[in-house]
Amino acid sequence: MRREGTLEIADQLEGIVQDLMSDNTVPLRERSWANCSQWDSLFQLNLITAIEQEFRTQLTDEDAADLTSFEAAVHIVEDQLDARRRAAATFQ
Amino acid sequence: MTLREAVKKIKHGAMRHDRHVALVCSFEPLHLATFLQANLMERFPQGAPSVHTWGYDQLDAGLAETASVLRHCPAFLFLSWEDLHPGLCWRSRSAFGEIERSAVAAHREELAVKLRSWMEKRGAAETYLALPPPKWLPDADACAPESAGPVAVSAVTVLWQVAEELSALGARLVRLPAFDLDFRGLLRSGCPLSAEASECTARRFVELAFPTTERKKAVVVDLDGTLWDGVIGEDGPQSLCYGADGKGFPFHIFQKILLKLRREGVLLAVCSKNNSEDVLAVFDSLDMPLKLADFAVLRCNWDSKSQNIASIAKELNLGCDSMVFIDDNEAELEEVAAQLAGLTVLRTPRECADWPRLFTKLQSLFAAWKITAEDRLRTESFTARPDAWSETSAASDLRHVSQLGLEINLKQDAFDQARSLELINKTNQFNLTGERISREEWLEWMSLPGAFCMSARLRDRYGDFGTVCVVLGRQLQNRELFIKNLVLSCRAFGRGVESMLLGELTGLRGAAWIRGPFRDTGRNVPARRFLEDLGCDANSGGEWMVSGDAMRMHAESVCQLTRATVRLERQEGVGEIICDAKAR
Repeated sequence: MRREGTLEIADQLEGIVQDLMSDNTVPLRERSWANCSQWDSLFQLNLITAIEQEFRTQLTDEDAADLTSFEAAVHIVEDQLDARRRAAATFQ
Repeated sequence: MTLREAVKKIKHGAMRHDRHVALVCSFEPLHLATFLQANLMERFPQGAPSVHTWGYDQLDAGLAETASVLRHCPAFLFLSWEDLHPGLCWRSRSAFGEIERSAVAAHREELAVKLRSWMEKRGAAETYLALPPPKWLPDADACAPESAGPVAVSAVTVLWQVAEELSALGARLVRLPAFDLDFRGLLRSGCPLSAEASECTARRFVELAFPTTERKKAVVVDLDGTLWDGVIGEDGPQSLCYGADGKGFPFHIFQKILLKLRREGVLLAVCSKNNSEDVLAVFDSLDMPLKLADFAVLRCNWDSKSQNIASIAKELNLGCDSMVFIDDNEAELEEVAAQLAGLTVLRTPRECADWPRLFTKLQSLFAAWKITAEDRLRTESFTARPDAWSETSAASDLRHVSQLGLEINLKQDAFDQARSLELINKTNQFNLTGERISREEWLEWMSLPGAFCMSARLRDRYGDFGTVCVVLGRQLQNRELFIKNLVLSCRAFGRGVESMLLGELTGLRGAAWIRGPFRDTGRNVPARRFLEDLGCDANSGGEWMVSGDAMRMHAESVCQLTRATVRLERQEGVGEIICDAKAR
């Protein structure tokens, strides 16, 4: 089931990956470390930092290690933003 | 700038592969390298130097290459604690607490020798140095939290000693905020800097190494409420506050800062709405840090300040964009800013807390890594003239100059004089092309067959002006001289130095024709007038040409009129008189 805001997150992530990567051989939303030679450890470090800066969040070590595909990135960011919303609601 | 923006900038920006900047460190540079490249792209949109880095634990490789093939490019050395001692690293295999204070000190010489030798091999190339924050040290001491034990104190002291040695050899220490260690980044990638700290470091380095504004040359100050607290006309000299206590304290510090700037070659002038006799009485009767003789020009009258500053600019032979005006009266500042385009205006603070901002601003406007003898001579040559305050216009005709006892020393091979390149890159008004030359381009030009660089040093009865004129060019076939650029310091205008230098060059090289480019920069009217005096049409195709005979005749007549003594230095300090008009 697709959660609310998923489309916007995916669109935003698409922009980030597009900016960080120059290889356009694989469709953007299908890219992963397995099918894209540019998805290496350096790209992953750049992606972690870019996600943290763009979404104003901090990924856990586990999230950072799991950031191996576009799809995984969307889920990780969704989870992060959900957790943030829940925390904000608790403190209100 | 975010990382995404930085990467995007690099992807779409233009990079030059013949210009480089080296980032040397033993940690993984990661985002620091990215932000450095992106900031360079922003600074040089037409083509940025490319950043060279080496990977984790590759300090020696970086040092070796920047002392050999990349010797001429600017280098940014960011030291880590483990460069001093391998145990001073969170990733070290040794256990914390095993390092002795003496062991840290023992590594000092090893690091200092390595870096001294590196600096010596790099010669005059620009080298910037950043030190790691003490916060990055691992817990090697048994001591209370938020305190420093003997190992930490020793490490900090020793690394600063090394920095001091490198600084004495010409390295420029970059002051950075005390960043926290990015522990996550350090363990994940080997980079101790967060993305934000990397961006800040890269930006600061680019701002320092490639400044966008030129150093200002003169400060014009108001008196009442600016140089001291109080009003001469209202309160009288004895009521003015300028001492190192109470209300006068910030003014006292301000005067000392102006005095320091003067020693560094900045010209000081006064522009105040006061009676000049009252002002002279203040300087005569009060013992302030600044004396009357520290000012090159004094304008104390009731004319508009913009008129007075314009006349000060004329007298100092400076453009308004090379000057800063400081006043406590906003209306005056507005009037001046509206009338004099390009002049930087600053308001004297009203609150104590605001003064440091003015001091910092002055530091940035007059920033100089190195103060040369010529810089110091500049102020001396103005203030050594007792009649400077009463003169209303700069003498520009050669008849007046004939009384000055001009002595011109010409140096044939001035490529190795740092002042030659400096003068070319600093001069705006008498500059045939306005072109700035990098150190690499300078070395490239020097290696061309027939290349020459000749300079002229000027003295008159008021003082030594230092090197004031430089001609850079190349001898072509058919007895032709190509002048890449000719520049003359504004302090030496109206003395004919440029004519005598070109005339002598023509004779030495036996040139039949002299030609070169001219580009109207909007500010180089004196350079255009010089070409017009030679009978050249600088407008046709941006190139000028004059025959060798005409150049020599022109130089000869200038020499006669100015009654200058011209010497050609064949060796350091040894001069041969080639033209002594007074002896004729």
